[in-house]
Amino acid sequence: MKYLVVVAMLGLAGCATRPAPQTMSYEQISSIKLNNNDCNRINQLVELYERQLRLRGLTNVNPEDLSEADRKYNAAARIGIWSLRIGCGNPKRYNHL
Amino acid sequence: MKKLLLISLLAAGTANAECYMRSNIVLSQQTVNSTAKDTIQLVVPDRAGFLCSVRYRLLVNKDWQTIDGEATGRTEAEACAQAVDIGRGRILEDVEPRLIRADNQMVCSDLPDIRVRPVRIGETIWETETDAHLNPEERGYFTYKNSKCRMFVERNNKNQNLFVYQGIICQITSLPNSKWRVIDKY
Repeated sequence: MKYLVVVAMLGLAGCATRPAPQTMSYEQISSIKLNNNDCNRINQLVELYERQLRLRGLTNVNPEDLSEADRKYNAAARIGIWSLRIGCGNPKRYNHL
Repeated sequence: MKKLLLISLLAAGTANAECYMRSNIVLSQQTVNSTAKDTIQLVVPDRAGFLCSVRYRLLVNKDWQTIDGEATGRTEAEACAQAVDIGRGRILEDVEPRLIRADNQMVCSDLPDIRVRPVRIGETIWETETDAHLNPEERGYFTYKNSKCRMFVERNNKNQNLFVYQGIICQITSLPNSKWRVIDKY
């Protein structure tokens, strides 16, 4: 991951105007790219990730308790969430990007 | 480290002090790159005024090390400040550039021993119970909901498989020696 930012795929660019897919696969959620411009819609993006986690029953879970598939999915979504929260709330943190 | 460290001959507390072996492996060119964290101190009256035993954690390269110090002073603050200096002197001596060195040290102390360990979301912990992030760029503190936070990594062996998790901890209050809460881990 590393860092805030990067692309937007999977129709995320239009997620404010089009309904998001009901459920996303691991490949879909892990290939979402974020960039600094996404800070303008951080709430929508975090909600998208959290909705996907809810759909898979992955709220308030410890990774040790998960299957490998769920652990990977949980990590991919949370990496996205924290990239946004950390990067957008601390704009100088990743200013080399 | 090389010496047998016997903390305090002083009275009652010492009789029941917990003892354990601490192993150290020191590689060359280590650097101390943090201030004292999770400081715990025990102060008892002494002929000179007060005797302060202090234990704290320092990030040496990418690993937390426990430092012990002890000093007397006319006031509690003076004794403890000196104890921290003495402890820091010991670690600085230990991390002088050398090739590789390993040793064992018997430590006896009434102060709780803080070690890196597996943590769970929601738990209240000392900051140095979690490892620094493997990526130096991710080791810095950041602000989340007005709290001071940082990322951590946790290496976990399960069924002979190594899992590396990362997560977020945030300081519970803004007081200097406040404990931290595990906000997320994934």
